[in-house]
Amino acid sequence: MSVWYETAGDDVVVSTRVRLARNCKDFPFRPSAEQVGQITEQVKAALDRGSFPYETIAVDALDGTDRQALLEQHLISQQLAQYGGTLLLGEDKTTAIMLGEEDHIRIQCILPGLALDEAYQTADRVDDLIGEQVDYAFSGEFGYLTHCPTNVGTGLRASVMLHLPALSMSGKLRNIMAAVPKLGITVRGFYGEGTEASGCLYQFSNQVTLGLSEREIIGRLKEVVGQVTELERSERTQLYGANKLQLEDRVWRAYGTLRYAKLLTSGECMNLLSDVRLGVSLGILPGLSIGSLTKLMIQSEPANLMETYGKDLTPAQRDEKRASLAAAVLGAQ
Amino acid sequence: MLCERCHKNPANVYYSQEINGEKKELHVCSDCAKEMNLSLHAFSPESFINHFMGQGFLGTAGLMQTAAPSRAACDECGMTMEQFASGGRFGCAHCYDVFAPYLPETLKKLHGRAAHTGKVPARLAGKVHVKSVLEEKKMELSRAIANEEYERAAILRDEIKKLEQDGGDTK
Repeated sequence: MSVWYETAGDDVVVSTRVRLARNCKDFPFRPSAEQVGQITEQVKAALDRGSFPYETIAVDALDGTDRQALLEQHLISQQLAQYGGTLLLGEDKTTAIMLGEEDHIRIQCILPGLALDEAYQTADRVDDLIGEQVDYAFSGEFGYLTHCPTNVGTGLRASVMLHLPALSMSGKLRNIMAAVPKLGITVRGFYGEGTEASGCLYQFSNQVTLGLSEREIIGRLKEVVGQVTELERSERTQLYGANKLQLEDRVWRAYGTLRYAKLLTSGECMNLLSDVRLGVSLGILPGLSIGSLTKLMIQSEPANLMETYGKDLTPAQRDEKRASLAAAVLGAQ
Repeated sequence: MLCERCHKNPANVYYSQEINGEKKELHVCSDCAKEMNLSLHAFSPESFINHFMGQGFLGTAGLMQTAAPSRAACDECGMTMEQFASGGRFGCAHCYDVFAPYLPETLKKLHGRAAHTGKVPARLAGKVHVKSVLEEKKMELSRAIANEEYERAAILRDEIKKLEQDGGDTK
């Protein structure tokens, strides 16, 4: 298993993420730096005892670009990127344990495609390992106690990132977004809470964390995501059937720009990748793989570009590097 | 200190209230605070808890603008109800005990339910574990019956029986 964006998801589901919020019984929800240090040592001892291989990344010690790059890769949360803390990154980069986040411990597992059960099982195993050594804040009545009561109970937030270009184009996505909150599901943008949808990517996640078992939460989300995925697929077929030439033109134009442009902004690149991804799923661009597009999407983000080509890149230089990277990826296939 | 009401349990809830300039203070345990819920509401011309639930955490600022709001504070971290209501976040795990009498209503607004039925940490396996599993199974049974999934309901009924025979507290 490698980092999620190096393995292809499917034609609609890009990735699956599960996170568990946990706190230590004996520390306040906003611990001192010294207390965060103690929590970190306890968690590391638990992982060592369970022979769980990981790398320690002191987010506090990273510069803004490094932090942003991890955020773009969805390996740390916005809060950790902004305020610092510690990341214990599993060897295969699918498990990320964030310490000193809004809650003391946040265990995240991120996988390509639709993999809710697998992601939960992985996070659950890590939680068991840590829970053997750390006294969690827990009450029989309210479950795992969290800083914010929106996470209390299971502390489980499961989210699935969907690529929904056809439902966006037809406008039906608006109806879906209006309907899913009634099922305890929220829809957010690419980087989670408070972010805009970019490249027709939407995160569907559970709103309710209390009063349902983990299995039920996962099951409900799976059901909703399954239905939305099917709706997107049928909408794509319908759209292509009714507007074949227009859609092919749009996809080939996006491909042409991505492959031959000399300057690409981050936003433009995301939108072009969305059209090209749609083209691949409809068989308009048979030579390309979805996986390579997901990888390009992450690698072409500003901070990831700077990690590869130099942190002193100006925005204009980044646009140039982004265009040459896209040309290389598309040209290689 | 011990609870000023039952004189048995440690006092972990602190109330203070000003009526016509006269300050009343009370240190009680969580159980007594729960039992006193109604009488405490009666102190205030408007139930302060309604403001807490309706405006603060879930909505607009300017909560607790009642004439004489009651005050409850966590004896470990000092978090008051007003602070929670305006910030929407607790100070420590103990806050959940202190504010327990008021939590179910808030939690129902957020989650539709107020009791945990999921995983229990391995270190607490035992009574809590059995209780939660049992409750979860019972809730699943009700849902299965409501959905007319009778085969699943029969399996759940047998699992519940077995758990109860194994000594679980059925509550």
